[in-house]
Amino acid sequence: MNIESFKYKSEIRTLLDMGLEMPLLTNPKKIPAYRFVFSTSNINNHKPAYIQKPQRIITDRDKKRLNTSGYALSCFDKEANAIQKYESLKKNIKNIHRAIGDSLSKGVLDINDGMVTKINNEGHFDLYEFAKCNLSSKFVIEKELI
Amino acid sequence: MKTITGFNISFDFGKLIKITDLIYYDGPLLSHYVSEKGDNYLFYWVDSDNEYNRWIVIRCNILSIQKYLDKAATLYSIITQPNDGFVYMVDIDNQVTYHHTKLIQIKNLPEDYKPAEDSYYTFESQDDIDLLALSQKYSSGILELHIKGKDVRYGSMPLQKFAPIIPQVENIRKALSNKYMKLIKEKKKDADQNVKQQIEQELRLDTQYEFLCSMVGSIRIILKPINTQTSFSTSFSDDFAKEMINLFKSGYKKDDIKQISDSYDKSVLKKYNDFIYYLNTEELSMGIQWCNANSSTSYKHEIEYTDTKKILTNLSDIEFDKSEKLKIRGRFYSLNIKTGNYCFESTEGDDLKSFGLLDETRKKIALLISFNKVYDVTIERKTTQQIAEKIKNNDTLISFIEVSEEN
Repeated sequence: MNIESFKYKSEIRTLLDMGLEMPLLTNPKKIPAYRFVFSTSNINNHKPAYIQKPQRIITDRDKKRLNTSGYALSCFDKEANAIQKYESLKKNIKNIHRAIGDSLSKGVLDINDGMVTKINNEGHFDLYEFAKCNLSSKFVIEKELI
Repeated sequence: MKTITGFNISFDFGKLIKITDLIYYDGPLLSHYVSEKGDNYLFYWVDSDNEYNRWIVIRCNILSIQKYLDKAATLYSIITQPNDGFVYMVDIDNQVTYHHTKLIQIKNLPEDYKPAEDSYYTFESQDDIDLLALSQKYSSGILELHIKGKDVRYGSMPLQKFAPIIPQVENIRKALSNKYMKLIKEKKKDADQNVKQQIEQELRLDTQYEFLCSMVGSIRIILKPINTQTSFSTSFSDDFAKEMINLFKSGYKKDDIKQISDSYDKSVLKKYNDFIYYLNTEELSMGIQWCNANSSTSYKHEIEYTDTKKILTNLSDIEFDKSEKLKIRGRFYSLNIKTGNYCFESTEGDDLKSFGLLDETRKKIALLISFNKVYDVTIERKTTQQIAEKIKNNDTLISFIEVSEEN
């Protein structure tokens, strides 16, 4: 797979050199996507897990257990699936809004944005952004989740 | 972040070994770790600011985690009723440095640091133990067998289901190791005698495992080669583990099964078949993973219960054909000159027998055969065997020469 167009190509290449594999990816063709975001300006908005600061990591060893998904953005296919996930997380972690955002945003992904993984049984998929992708200008907050 | 009342302490969280992330969304939110002594710790994310992520750390017993994963208990009960009567709190920065480590009494935990009272488990755990950490700790390659499926809970399973697994895996290892050692020795047959002895010793130690420990995360059996690794390059232990894992992978494709059969033999595949049959009968899945921090090698494969039927079908479809010519001295003791069917038995005391058909040329002169005479016969034997089936011999007698009485 050609990873040169991805925004985090050098980071991903490092992981591939370590023997990790990319998941099967396809081009999104104007598909709606839902993401958790912070309603107020936040440096972690639309940033993959490994780029966020401070990174949620517990031991030094965890740094060596990376996978390419950490350089992708979590999305949901339907609003209901996103809300269901958020509610489950909120029951177990009351401050979840401080980790992943307090609002649900919506955008439409097309082939210029990046490549996406298969949708799992929770309606979740990953977006591997292309270099010029900017979801901040594309995604609009739909509702508050707290 | 909030200031929490507690006692400042020091605790080297960095020495803990991760078992799995129980809740994960764009990073861990609830993770299970174990200490070198085997104590279980849950890291529960509660808060963050621009500098730190804040975690509550709870020492708990495995039964509590099991109950939570089985939806029989809430996370609220685990956090608010810890084993020790208190929890730890730590702020971790981006460089994974630990700050503000404290012992906290439950009554001092803010409400938003506690889960909701109906916080039942509704997630799928990541289930990926930190084998690299174990490999670094023991300075050795680590082989992990990970059992999941019917009646397997997080860290326990019925003994009658667990007990047959070890001898079956050991049978596979033993069969594979015998052939593997022969293949390597064959490749090195021209080496110096001392080198050959050293290779023999290395092979013996690199292809046998010792049990290290069992760990939770369904059921995990942790093994390491008997050999003490002294180099940072790959060794026979890496190569052998790769072959083991390739064997476990092979059942998915008939070509791969054939390849294993050509490289090793069907006795290895028979043992593999027996094990897959066991997984199928007991509705179990098994992951096998090798990790060696010294040589930077890592291989893994997972056999899902749902795949076991397909693997068994693939194995049963494979027929192993072998053709050989046998020369036997003996007597005919039955013959049908019309159909060409014969029975022939060795008179050399080696118990060799052949049942089959005369070829067309021999059938035409079958009348010349006498039951009280000794013959040297040549038999073309085609052997066919399916895995887990008996060998079928197909014999054709292609020559017979009467042995004169002086012989």
